[in-house]
Amino acid sequence: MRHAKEEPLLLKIILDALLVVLFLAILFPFVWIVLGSFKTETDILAWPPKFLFPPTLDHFRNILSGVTYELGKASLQSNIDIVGFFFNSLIVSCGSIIVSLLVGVPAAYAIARFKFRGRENIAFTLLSFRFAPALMVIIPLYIIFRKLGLNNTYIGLIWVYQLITLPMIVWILRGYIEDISPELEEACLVDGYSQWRTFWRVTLPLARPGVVAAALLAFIYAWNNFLFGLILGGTHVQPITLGALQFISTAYVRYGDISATIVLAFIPALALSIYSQRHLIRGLSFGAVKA
Amino acid sequence: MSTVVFEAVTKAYGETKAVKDLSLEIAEEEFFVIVGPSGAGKTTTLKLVAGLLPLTSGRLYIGGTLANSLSPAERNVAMTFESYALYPHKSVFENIANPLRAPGMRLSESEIGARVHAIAEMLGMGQLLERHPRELSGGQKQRVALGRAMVRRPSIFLLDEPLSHVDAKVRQHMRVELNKLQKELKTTTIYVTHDYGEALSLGDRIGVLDHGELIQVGPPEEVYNRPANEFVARHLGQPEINLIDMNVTRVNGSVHLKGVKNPKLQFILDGKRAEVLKQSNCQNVRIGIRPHKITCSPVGAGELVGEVYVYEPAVIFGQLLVDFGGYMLTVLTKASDRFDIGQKVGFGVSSKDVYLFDPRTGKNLEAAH
Repeated sequence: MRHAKEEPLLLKIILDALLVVLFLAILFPFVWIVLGSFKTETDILAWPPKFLFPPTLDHFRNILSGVTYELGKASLQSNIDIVGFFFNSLIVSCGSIIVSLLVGVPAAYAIARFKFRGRENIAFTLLSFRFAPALMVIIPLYIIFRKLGLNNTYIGLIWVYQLITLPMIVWILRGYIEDISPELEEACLVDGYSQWRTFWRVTLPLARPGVVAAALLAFIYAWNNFLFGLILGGTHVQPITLGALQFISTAYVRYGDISATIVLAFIPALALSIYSQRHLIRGLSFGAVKA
Repeated sequence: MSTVVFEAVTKAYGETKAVKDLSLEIAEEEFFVIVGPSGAGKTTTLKLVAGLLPLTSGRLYIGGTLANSLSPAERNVAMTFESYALYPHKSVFENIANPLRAPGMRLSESEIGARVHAIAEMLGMGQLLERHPRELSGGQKQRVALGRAMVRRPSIFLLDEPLSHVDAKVRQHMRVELNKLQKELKTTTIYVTHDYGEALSLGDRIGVLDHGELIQVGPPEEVYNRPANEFVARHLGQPEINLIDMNVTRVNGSVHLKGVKNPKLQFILDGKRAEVLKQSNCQNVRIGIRPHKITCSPVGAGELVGEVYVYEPAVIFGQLLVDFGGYMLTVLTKASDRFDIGQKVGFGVSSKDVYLFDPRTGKNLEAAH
């Protein structure tokens, strides 16, 4: 207790200042994008950069309705369906989470509870999906998807997104389930339930915070993915992370619309993270701490 | 109400055998206590009966039917766990009601309520039903676990160290209650403990388990007074039995035992006990003397004289360590006795209170006859 008091004041000030610098550095891109989404094109490109400006909602109106642009003599018809991209993201991310939960919860349970040959190999293979760069497999995947006719389909994207969501759900839940005493399940078996009913009655309710945390985290990662949609999807299945690209053309880069799209894209992820912060921290640290 | 029969039951994990070749019959309505140190295979034995672990070999009969491949649900046994294993996400009511909601039961909600309340009243926890396990004390948790076991009226109770984690005061009370409950319900019970006191006071019969082997089975008095080997003698009884190595010499019809380290300690055996020793062909014998069988007396009156090493007055009895020329003997004394360190003290042991163990195998030489 006394150590904390005796820490020199100067050191404390320096440490706090460093934290503020770090905070600003991390936050700046977000703030810049949010500001940009409310600026006119001229204000965005103004030098020195403007922090005070008359705000406009034009960009949001543009991306939500697809308005016609007048650019000098050329008239450009914007029919970029950002709302459609947004729903693609929802379908692909939610679909991936649902599939990952259906497959991952039983898998995590098996890896946590049963000793079988190759258990650690399977667990490690799943983990390796996370640390191997996706670029390593994207070309062969593209060829395979072409041959199977899976490219440009929701199912194809949901399938390949399992590389992102499944390892997370399996590994977070594994630790979580290992922390639930097997004696609770044994008690339920002795109470007269089958293994399957015991899982639903005892294991799953107790693992629920872990399931929620894993699903939320996996959702955020899936939502943020860019590469798989870029290579394996066409415009009518691509997620919103790719939607922003549509505003870059040879003639003109529409920074304002890009900013507005990005703001729209990170609202769900941000809302989820803030809403679930408590869940995430508890869920993630629960499995990690071994008594 | 059922019998349990083990026929050469073995449970192995790879090379290590948790339960070795166990053969045992537990009678209807019997209160059978399995006692042994930790790692002896007691819990494994219970889990074999409950159907939570598969047998490696042998046969297990419950109520006369072969139960080897029956699932826990099909055995109608109830078990309490050392950790209580209460469902943390369910209220006390739901914990106790859980066996009644099992697929095979098909009870109406009002019947479930009635049975849970009856059990709760019986265990004196009617006011706890709405609480969650984390809000209960150790003793209360234990009662909930017992309630959950009893509510279904199972044919067998399996109780795994039910009293080891409740505090001493509650333990005494619960022990008495458990004994009474079992006598009233007349349900066959297998009770596992490492506490010899519980074993001796609760069991109709007790079985001593060590390293997965059943060493001795019998009524408590018999197991205590005629231990099958050194291990049983050491494990049952507090303070621990005194074990002393003796040389054996034959003199005419009788046998003389002399302490290896101190020949002043000696016993003369004759008659049947001498015969036993002669037949065993032992050059040495290890004797066991219970601490309460050594009597202290003023110097001169006793047969032997030792020096007080330390004395612990424990209010209801005293525990004296006597240094007797190389031997450290534990003696149980009256509470009123007082001894000073270094004081000379006389003591005596009757030769009939001496157990004879084979030093090579640890077996009680007289148990075979």
